[in-house]
Amino acid sequence: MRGLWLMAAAVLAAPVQAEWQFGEPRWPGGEPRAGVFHQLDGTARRHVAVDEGHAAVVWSDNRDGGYQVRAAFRPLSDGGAFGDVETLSEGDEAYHPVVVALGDGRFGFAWEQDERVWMRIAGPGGAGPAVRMDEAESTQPALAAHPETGIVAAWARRENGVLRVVSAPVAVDEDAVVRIGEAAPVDPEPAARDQIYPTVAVTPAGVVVAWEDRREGHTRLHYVFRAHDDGFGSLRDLNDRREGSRSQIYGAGSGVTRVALAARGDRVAAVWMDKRDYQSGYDVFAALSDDGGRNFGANEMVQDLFGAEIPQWHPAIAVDPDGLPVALWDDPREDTSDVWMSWRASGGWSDDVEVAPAYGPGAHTRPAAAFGPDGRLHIVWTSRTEDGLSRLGYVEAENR
Amino acid sequence: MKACFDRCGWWFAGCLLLLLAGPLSADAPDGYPFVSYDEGLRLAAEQERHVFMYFGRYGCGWCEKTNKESFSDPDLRALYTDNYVLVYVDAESGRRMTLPDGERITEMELGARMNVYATPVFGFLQPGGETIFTVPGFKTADEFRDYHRFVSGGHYREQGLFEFLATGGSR
Repeated sequence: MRGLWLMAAAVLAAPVQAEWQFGEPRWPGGEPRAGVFHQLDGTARRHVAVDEGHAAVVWSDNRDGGYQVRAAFRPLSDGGAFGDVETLSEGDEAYHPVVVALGDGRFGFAWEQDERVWMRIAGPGGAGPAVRMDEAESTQPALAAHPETGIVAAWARRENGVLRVVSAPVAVDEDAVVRIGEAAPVDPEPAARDQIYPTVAVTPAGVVVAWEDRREGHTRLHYVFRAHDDGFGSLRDLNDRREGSRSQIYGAGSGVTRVALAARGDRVAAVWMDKRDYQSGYDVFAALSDDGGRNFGANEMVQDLFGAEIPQWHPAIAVDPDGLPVALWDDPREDTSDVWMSWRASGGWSDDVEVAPAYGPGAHTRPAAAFGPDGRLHIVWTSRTEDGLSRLGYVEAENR
Repeated sequence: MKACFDRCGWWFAGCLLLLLAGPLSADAPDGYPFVSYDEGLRLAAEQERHVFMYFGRYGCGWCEKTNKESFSDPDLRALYTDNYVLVYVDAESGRRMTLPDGERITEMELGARMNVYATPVFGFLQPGGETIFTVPGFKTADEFRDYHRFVSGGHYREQGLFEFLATGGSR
C-alpha cells in the first residue's frame, strides 16, 4: 500500500521537480584533505550571501591547525570561479560565522572568536579591520541588512551566568570600518535561563529578532519586533503553544530548536526544527509574516510525506525577490544524508526535491542558501566523501 | 483567622503548583559523575572501561521520568558509577567537543550524526569508542541492570541485545 502511495506521489511530484535546474557544483574550500573539517554552524545558517555582482561563502575549518573563519568570493558573470580562501578571524579559535550582502561587492561577516563576537567587512576587493562587537562574553552572532534601513546585529551575551539576546545597529564607513551601536536586550525582562541562537531580519517595516528561549523550563521560540524608530515590542510566541497541562510524552514542551529567519520586502519566513511529532524526531516547521515581521501566521510543516517518518536536520531558509520562501535541510530518508528543498507555493509547501549535487554517495548535510537579486538560488553545504574526507560544496539553482 | 487560613492555604497551594509545574531541565541525573563526550572517550581509553552514554534534552519529559524513577535507585547509581565512564550529551546544545579524528563539533551535531531523533537515548560504547548498542526512551532500573549484564559479560560479542534478553540473559 505504501508503494502505491509512493508511486502516486512520485507521479504527482514529477512536473514540480523539473522546475529547479542545478548548475555544476563548485568547491570554494578547495580540494578535500585528510584531517581538515569544514563547519557550517552559524546562527540561522547564513553562510552564503549574494549581491548584484558576487557571491560570498563563509565557514570555519582547521586547514592550518586551529579552527578559523574563512571566506571565498566569486564573480557571478561569465561563470566566474571562487578566488583564494581568505581567513577573517584572528584569535585562537573561531566558529559560528555568518555573512550578509551589503551591496557593491561588500559583505558583512560576524563570528564567535575566543568567547567574544566579532565583525568585519570584506569582499573581493579586500577586508576592513576585525572589530569586537561586545566586551562581555558573547556568542552566536546574527546579521541582517536592508538596502535602505541598514544593518542590524543580534547575539547572545552572558549576563549573570546565563545567555541573554541583545541587538544593536551597525554602521560601516567608506573605509569598511564597522561601528557597533548600543546593544540592548531584545526582551527587557532579565534572563533567568538561557536565550540562545538569535536570528534577525530587517524589513521596510522594522526589525524582527527570534531566538530559542528556556525561561519556561523547556525550549520555546520567541520573537520581538520593533519599528525602525522605536524600541522592541512585547514578546511573542513563534512556535505553537501546547494547550493543556504538560504531559509525560512532551514534558513541558515538544522540543524546538535552531530557528532561522529570512526576509525580502515585507515577507519574512521562519523555519526551525520541531519535535511535536516526537516518534519520528525533528520535522521542519515554518511560519510566515506578510507585514514585515510584526505578526506571523500559523505553524506549517514543511517536508512532505516521504520525509514524515524520519528526522530532518539543519533547516535553512531563503526568500526570493518575489517573496517565495525556499527551505532546505538534510535528512536520511534514502539511508544516507542528502540535502532536500521545498518551496512555499500558494497552496502550501511543495513536494521535496533533492538538491542534485548534494545527493548520493557519501553524506551531504548542513545546507545554507540565499537568493541573488536576479532570483537565482545559491546553495552551500558540507559533504563527507565515501572515504571520509570533508568537502564544502556550492551550487547555483534556477527555478524555471 | 479564616482569612489568614485562606491566604496561607492559597499560598501553600501556589507553592505546591509551582513545585509541580516548575521548570525542568532534564539534565544529567544528580549524583552521577557524568562528563562530556570527548572527556569520556579519553577516560574510557585510558581506564579501559566501557562508556554509558545518555542523550538528553532540555525540557525532556521522558528524561525527567527516567531520572526520577530509575536513576534515583542507589544500587543502580553504584553499579553504573563503578563500572562505566558516564557521558551526558545535551542533544540540542551548542557546546563543542573534539572527536577522536580531530574534528570539532557541537553536541547537537553529534546527535545528528548518531541520528538521535528522540530523547532520551542511552548507548553503550566499547573502551575504544565503538558503539555496542543504543536504545531510545524511558527505561526502568531493572532494564539498566539487564544492559549492564549484557555489556559487562561481553555477551554483545556473540549475540544481539534482544536475543540476549529473550534467551533469559536478563535473569
